[in-house]
Amino acid sequence: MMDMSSVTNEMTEPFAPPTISIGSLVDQIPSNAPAETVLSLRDVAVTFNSKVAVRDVSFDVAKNRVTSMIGPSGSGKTTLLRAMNRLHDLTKGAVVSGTLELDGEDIYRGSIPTTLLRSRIGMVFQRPNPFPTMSIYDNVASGLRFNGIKKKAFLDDAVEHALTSAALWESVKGRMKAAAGTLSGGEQQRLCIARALAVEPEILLMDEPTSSLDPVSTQHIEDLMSTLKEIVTIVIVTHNMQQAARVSDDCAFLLMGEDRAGELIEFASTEKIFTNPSDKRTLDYIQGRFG
Amino acid sequence: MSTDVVELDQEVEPEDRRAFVQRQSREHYGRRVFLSRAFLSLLIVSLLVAFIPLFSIVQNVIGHGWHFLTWRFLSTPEQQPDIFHQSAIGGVSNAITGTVLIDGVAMLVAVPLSILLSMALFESKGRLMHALRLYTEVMVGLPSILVSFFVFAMVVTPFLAASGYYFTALAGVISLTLLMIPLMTVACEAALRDVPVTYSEAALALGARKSRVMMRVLLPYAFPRMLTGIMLSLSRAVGETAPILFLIGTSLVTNWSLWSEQTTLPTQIFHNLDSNNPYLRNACWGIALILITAVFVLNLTSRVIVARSLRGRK
Ligand SMILES: Nc1ncnc2c1ncn2[C@@H]1O[C@H](COP(=O)(O)OP(=O)(O)OP(=O)(O)O)[C@@H](O)[C@H]1O
Ligand SMILES: [Mg+2]
Repeated sequence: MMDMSSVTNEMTEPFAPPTISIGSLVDQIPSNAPAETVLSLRDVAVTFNSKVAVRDVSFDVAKNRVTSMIGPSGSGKTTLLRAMNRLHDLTKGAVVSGTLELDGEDIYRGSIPTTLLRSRIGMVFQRPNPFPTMSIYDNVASGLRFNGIKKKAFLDDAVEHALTSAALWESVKGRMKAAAGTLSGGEQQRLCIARALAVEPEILLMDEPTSSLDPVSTQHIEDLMSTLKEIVTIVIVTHNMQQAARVSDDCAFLLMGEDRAGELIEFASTEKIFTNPSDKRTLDYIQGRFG
Repeated sequence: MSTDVVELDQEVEPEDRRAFVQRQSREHYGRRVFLSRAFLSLLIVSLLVAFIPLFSIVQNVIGHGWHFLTWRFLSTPEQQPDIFHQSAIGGVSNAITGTVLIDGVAMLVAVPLSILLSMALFESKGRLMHALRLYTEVMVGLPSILVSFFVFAMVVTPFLAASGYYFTALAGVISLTLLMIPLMTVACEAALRDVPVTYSEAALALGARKSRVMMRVLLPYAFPRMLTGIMLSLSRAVGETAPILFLIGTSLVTNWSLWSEQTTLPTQIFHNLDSNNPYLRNACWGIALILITAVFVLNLTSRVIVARSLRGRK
């Protein structure tokens, strides 16, 4: 059924285009060089029933890099992440203010329809949530089907490609028809990553994607990120400081202010945040003095 | 579309793949918008089909019934008008007390019994109990006239009638209780089953006894849904005519005795409609309005309680 790998391999050589992939370009850029911005946040604030959850957030997410958001529980990381693909639209009483721009276009007031926006900015949730009623194959293909792609050849190819990118292809290729629930927790999370990747998003939002996983699966997903960022910009929320230091290029640190509303304290390259932060509170947090 | 496929039979660069998917979803977007509009219209049509008749019932009941809502109508008992004073029909106080008495007592018996039953069915594992659970579910669909018939044959004839009680509120209470028990039990058991198993596991892992888990964890969590189920069953019972019509007789005076005949709001509607006095028939609107109001208030109260107990729960 999924026997096209051999076909494509054969064809790779004659058709291999002589272009340089964006990913290899990025690798050549030193991490502190200015990179192209895909998503910019200006004075973003989110309120629930007029109670401020997070405010004063301005930073730029750079293309083909991994941006991490760290901070103590309740500092508004999830809230901010969900604002980036308009998931708060579904919450009664939630208001997002400020400006979020995708490639220079305001995602709340601009002309991008929400459904199309969400197919360009994908999301992986904290707990693996594969569709329980669908097979492994159908889970990965679901996003493409939602977007009206029915061509079986393309779906087959995209499913294999996405599962390969998520480092899951080898272990599931023999059981594409099996229910997604039969996978282990770590495999389910990688399935969710594959599902998000299949839609070819420009940005992938990940909310503590490894917090319910064992160290081996965590390692898998961390390794994945460094290769994935060649094709997709990643924004990741994590509680694990080592993880932020290992996988991210840029880092945003959030903290609750006096009135328990989250604020952006500092945004810089991960290297700077972890070696030489400008704000004393960042240093305290990094060194584990609170939070 | 065919050109895309030719492209994609070959090895695809990530950027091409993305361009393809984005182009497809943009092209498909128009159709999606159309489809969701079509679906929305379908929803609106079904809303209209369902709610036009439902609203017009209530509108008619209020329109025709509101001027009956006077203190005099509520507080005087029914009168049998004679041929010269056809409009002297009295009020409904006898039916109100009858309804409160019969439904109240039936509820007092059925609610605790159903909750206990639902716990038993929920906790039990054996085959017998599984069969009992199935049986209870089947009983939900029991035709109410059958309950009435059963009570008449098995309770009234052998016991009550033998001591001279032919029509009693008690028979009505038994009938309504029998009707409500399966409804309430099934609703309460579903509510218990709805509690995520991690909560009872958390309590058991702390060394709690099963009964403690039930009282401290399961019941409080399930309470709002139980209450909703109980209220729905009660609303149903308050409006029932068939299970009591031939058991409770009629009473033209207000009284609170289980051993005497009674009239309830639904049975009064039945008797009024059965008469050829236009005033009696017209009063049915007023009685219907009282019934609807009562059911509405019951539901509103339970909703307030449910909302209270759900506060702060995810
Ligand atoms: N749907 C909601 N309604 C009301 N308040 C909310 C809602 N979602 C989040 N909040 C509030 O917003 C604040 C930030 O929550 P958020 O989930 O973003 O924190 P977080 O940084 O992701 O925390 P954690 O690290 O524990 O996941 C909290 O005070 C929370 O109570
Ligand atoms: Mg969170």
